[in-house]
Amino acid sequence: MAELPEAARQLIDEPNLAHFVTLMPDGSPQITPVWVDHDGTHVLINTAEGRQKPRNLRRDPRVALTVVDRANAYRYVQIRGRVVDMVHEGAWDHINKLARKYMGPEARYPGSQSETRVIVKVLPEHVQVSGPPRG
Amino acid sequence: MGKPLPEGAKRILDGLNFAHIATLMPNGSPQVSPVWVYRHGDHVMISTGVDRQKTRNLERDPRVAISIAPVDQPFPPLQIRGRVVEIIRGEDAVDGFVEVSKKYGNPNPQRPPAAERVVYKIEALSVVSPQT
Repeated sequence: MAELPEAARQLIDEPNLAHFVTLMPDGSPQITPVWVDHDGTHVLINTAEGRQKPRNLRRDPRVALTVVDRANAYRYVQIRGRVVDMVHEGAWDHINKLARKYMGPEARYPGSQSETRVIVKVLPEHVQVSGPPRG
Repeated sequence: MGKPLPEGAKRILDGLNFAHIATLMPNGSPQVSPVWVYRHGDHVMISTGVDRQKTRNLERDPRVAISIAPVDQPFPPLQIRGRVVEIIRGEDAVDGFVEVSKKYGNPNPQRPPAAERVVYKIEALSVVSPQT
């Protein structure tokens, strides 16, 4: 199992958005900007049941994403991989953790409490880091 | 048929934002990379080098998706699904490189060899964007 390179983890640890690609029923790509996290091995995305993304992912687990430094667009990581798990448990805590990362230390996710949140675990299979390392 | 772009989509495409363009690998899996972008009317224009993975992908399968989340106001973002309707090569592709380089702040870009550049003209089939 591939570990995420340190440079990729750094980019994800900072409050940079990911652009996350899934495949539509006809095989064409769909892309959305999303909050992103990692657990050292997997890239973690948090979405809600009923949206296009989870429908696409259950049909075809192949995904791609970029994470670009919000302050330097020439520093970025490109990842191709596949979804290995989608879990409901802890997903609300996780989206609130992401809200604190992206919106501020007191923030809570502003969406409806009636949403069924889901953590999407992506196993990276191809990782390419571009641009200067930071720090 | 391509869809007209709402004013909000044009505003985001005309801004100095990076776009993320998703293409399809030979096995149908997705690939995504950040790119400069410019606009001609209702078409999204991408200027790139001929030796890139996305170039090889787009020559084989014209289906693309594009998203832009402006740094100063990422949400709501622009999301487009569409397809390449024209592949522009030669000096016209170099003109596209010059146009997009000027847009992103280089007033006097050096013209690269024509054999190295390509521009993809993309029509939108589905657009999610702010209205204004």
